[in-house]
Amino acid sequence: MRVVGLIAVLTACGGSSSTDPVPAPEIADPGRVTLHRLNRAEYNNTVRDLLLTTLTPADDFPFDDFGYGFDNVAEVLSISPLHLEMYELAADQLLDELLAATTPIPAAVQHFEAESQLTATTGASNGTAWNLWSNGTASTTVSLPSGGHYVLSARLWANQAGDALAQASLLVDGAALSTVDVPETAAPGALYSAEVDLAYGGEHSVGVRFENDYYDPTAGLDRNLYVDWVELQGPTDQVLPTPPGYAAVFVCDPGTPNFVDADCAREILAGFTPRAWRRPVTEAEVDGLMGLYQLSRDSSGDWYEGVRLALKAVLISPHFLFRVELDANPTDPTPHPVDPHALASRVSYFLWSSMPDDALFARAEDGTLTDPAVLEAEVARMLADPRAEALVENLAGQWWSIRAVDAAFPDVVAYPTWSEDLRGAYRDEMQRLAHDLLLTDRSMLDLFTRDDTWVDARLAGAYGLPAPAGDSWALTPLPPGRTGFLTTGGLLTALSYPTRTSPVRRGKWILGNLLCEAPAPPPPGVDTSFFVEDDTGAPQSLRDQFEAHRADPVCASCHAVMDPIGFSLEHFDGVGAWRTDDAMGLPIDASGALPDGSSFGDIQDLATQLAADPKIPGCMVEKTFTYALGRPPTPLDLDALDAIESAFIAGDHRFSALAAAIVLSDPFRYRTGEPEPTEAP
Amino acid sequence: MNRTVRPSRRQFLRGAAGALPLPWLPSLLPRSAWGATLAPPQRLLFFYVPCGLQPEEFVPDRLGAGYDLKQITAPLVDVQADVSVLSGLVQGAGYDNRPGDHARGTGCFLTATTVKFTAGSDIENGISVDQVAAQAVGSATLLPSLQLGIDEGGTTGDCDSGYSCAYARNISWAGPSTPMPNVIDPTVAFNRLFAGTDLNLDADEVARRTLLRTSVLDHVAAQATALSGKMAYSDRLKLDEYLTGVRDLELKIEQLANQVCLPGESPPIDDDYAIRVQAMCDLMALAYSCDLTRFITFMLGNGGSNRSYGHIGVAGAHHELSHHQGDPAKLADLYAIGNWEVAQFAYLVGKLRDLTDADGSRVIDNSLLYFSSEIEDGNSHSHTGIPVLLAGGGGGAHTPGRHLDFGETAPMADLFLAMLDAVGVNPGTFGEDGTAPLAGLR
Repeated sequence: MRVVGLIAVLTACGGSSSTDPVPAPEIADPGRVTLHRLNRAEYNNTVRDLLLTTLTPADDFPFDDFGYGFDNVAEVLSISPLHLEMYELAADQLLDELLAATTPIPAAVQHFEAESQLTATTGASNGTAWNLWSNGTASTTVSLPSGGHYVLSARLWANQAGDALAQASLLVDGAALSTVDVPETAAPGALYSAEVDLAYGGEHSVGVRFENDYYDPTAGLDRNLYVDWVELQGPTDQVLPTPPGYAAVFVCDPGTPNFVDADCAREILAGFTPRAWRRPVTEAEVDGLMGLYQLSRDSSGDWYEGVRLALKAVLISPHFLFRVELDANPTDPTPHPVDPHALASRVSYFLWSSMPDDALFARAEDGTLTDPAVLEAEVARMLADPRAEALVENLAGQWWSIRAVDAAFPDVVAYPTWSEDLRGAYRDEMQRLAHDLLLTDRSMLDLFTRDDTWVDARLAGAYGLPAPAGDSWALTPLPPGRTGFLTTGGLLTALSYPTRTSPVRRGKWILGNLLCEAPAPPPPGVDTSFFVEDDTGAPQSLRDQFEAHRADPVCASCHAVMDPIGFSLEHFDGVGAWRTDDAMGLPIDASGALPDGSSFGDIQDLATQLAADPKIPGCMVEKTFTYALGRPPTPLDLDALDAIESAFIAGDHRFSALAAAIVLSDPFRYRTGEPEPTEAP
Repeated sequence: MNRTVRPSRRQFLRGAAGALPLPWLPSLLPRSAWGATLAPPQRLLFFYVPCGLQPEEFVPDRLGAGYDLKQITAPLVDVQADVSVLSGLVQGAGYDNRPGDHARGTGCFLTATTVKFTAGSDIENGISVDQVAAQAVGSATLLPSLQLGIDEGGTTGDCDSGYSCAYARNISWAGPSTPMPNVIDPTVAFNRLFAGTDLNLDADEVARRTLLRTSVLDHVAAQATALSGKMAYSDRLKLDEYLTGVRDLELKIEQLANQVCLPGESPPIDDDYAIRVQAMCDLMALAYSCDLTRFITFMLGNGGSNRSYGHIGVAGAHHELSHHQGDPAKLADLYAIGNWEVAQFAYLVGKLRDLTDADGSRVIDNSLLYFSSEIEDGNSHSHTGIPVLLAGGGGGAHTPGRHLDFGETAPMADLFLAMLDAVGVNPGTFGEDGTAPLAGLR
């Protein structure tokens, strides 16, 4: 008989009372999942797949609420005002990137004061400008980042004399872009500009040339050209490369033949919104978004700004941020199928932590997703897709504490071999092992008994194994004493204190995460002292120090199970390294006996016994069910869990069998409404 | 309520110099304000450190002004005149007949309410003192309140003896089940304060952008309302949270038009713990001097934190050390940690002493800063006599620089009522045992 551990029944304020009519379902109550907000990982993956971006804006979002072992439990996830600020900022960042190629990069300006920054072939400074008193050039060398379109400007005036006005030329690389009359006679003169297309960047010269000096000393007539400053602006035609997501969203744009602005905007929104909201959209919904487009156009926004405003609304809409599942009658508790598009999202967020792809959307659209055979085929297809790596990051990352490795603080004085390099190696090893367990069709019981692992040079050093060549990772048999995932250096470091091991934490982890039998918290007022030396002053091993755990019957009720399991791992110190003696210098005894009469000689022995323990598959089912549905199982799910477990075992404990069984189960494919609470909230 | 007078954007641009944020500049105020009494804003700040403060090296032997500094309070030496030590206050809500003092003590830290024992989604607390203030008078500033922290949310494991992680990681609660999450990245916090403030835009452009932004928010709010009409009770609660967030964001956008501070440089991007703490203290001072918010909470770490303070030479985990069992070596380490924590607080107090408000008074004189922990002695886990530092003048509500003892009879909640009174908010009661503003502070 299965007991669903310490998980409370979610009755949601009021729930069903004895006076409610008993529904007559065709299937057992499949439960329901509360409106489910995308968590950080899901948001990042979704925008990656929707917009083909490499930005990860959710890294700045507040951390997700955590419950029942995972950060994707719908009932627990909340939205704060801070979230909305972050969602809006994120939408702006994503749209900035998407539209980066539609606005030219602002052109750099280089400015040169003539009296101090130009080199002249003739003339002199008058303090604020350069006086070219005979034909000559004032110029300088510029360094340009690239070829392109440039604008050369100069502020000029002249002393006039004779019949002609003073003439000046604007020069680039010695060639005149234009030659003009300069009628102004005093500062500040006037601005003269010319444009040029340069074929390449690098060094160029720019300047001004006085063309028609006139000097009649007897009549006292002198024509001179004054140059105040010269400026080069550009390149003015540079744009960033078009990002890959642009073509996916902008199915038409001003460059398309027969472009009509409002029609194209509508076409874009009609194509993008169903993908973003993961369901077909109505004309009215598109009309509403077009209203925002029109509002922007009416307030002098250009076409891109108009479309952008509507796209922004799509990205901060509740239809994007939540996985919406509608019931025909929201308060009716009669079970009914989850609609195909919502079902597609359930599958993709379970297996990929992301939105459905086109193939899965197509199955939802043509109605075939409700066929169990099609659903099963999709699960197999999606597990083989690289996006299934999300299961390693998010399911294994939390369930098997891979993420916890990043939060460990070993003390480098106690453990001088510890480094960030080693942390990275430990984490990578755990991820590779998790990948193998989940995605390579082997038995998940290998978690206990697998006898080889992946090592690179860093890890090989820590485990005392031969290092593979270069940066590569290689499969290597485990050294004596280690077995499966339980003895990975990363896990044992995460389950230690900075200066010593913690058998209690390690035992508790195995009990809670693998046997689904988390021990109760300690009673109030418990004396947590323990003594490093015994009564004669001799040092005690950690096991003897913890004697009070077993001497006192109140403590023993939990510790008699936790401690022996934890002590089986005592050969691995606070950073997961093998040792024969403990920190006190005393030899380690890793054997133990459990209250049910079983005993083991060491961790390998214990691991073998655990692999055969009938509670293990059931616990794997419970944990994966919680992650897959976004809710913990309740007593109403017992039959479904039994069926899933049977399929899992029949499938040789492969994750693919477990995943398929969950997806095909009634709780996954059906839902109920929720009666209104009977008392005021 | 005093309507604060704000100079217009154009006036500020004419007078602006350099990239430093400038607090109130009397010369930019409209002529009609000259000669009128301008009351500077009153602020509150709550500075939380985890795992307790050892009273034997914190609480002075002498009462009154010129109190003796001990090992943990030694860093107050230069700011002592602006900081009081309060001893003998009781946080009754920290007690319950089960373990979990860290989660419980952190949960009730600013709410004085016994939190509901659960690790699931049915968390229940009271409303925290900073949120009482923010909900009453917070709309005067860009952000009604600001929650800052250092530690991550944590991803695996439970948080304390069967209590939800929500209790251990949040001290600011807007409602019984609404913790306000911390921003832990100084750059993100900086952007929240200053993003959207482009002082190069003219008033028409600002108005146009505001209209477009709020139109988008109106549109999605309407979508949420329509969706809510088709959903059951639990789902509607989620959409209510969404709608609250949208409404708050719209209020913030409207406030943006009043910004008069140039942001200056973005904070350094650095993983180093000590640098991040200091960056947060700098941001808090900046937020006050630019009047972007008046109610800030800061968590130096999460409840029961096991951080290793390697940068001050303390190996070992904070939480594990705090269970010192009288070991002198562990106590010495705890004193060192406490000393460092107080040094960070002293740094913040020092910054607020150097900044001035419109009437020339120091920002510290118009603020009240509360520094404490979720328990007293880390071994006993007591919630009685938790040491408290109270800095600042609160606009006259507090005469700082004294050691005041309250004989283990006065509830912490009464101190919170006194702090609320200083900002013009008088709810009458607070938490489970707050009945009247604490006497003796003035």
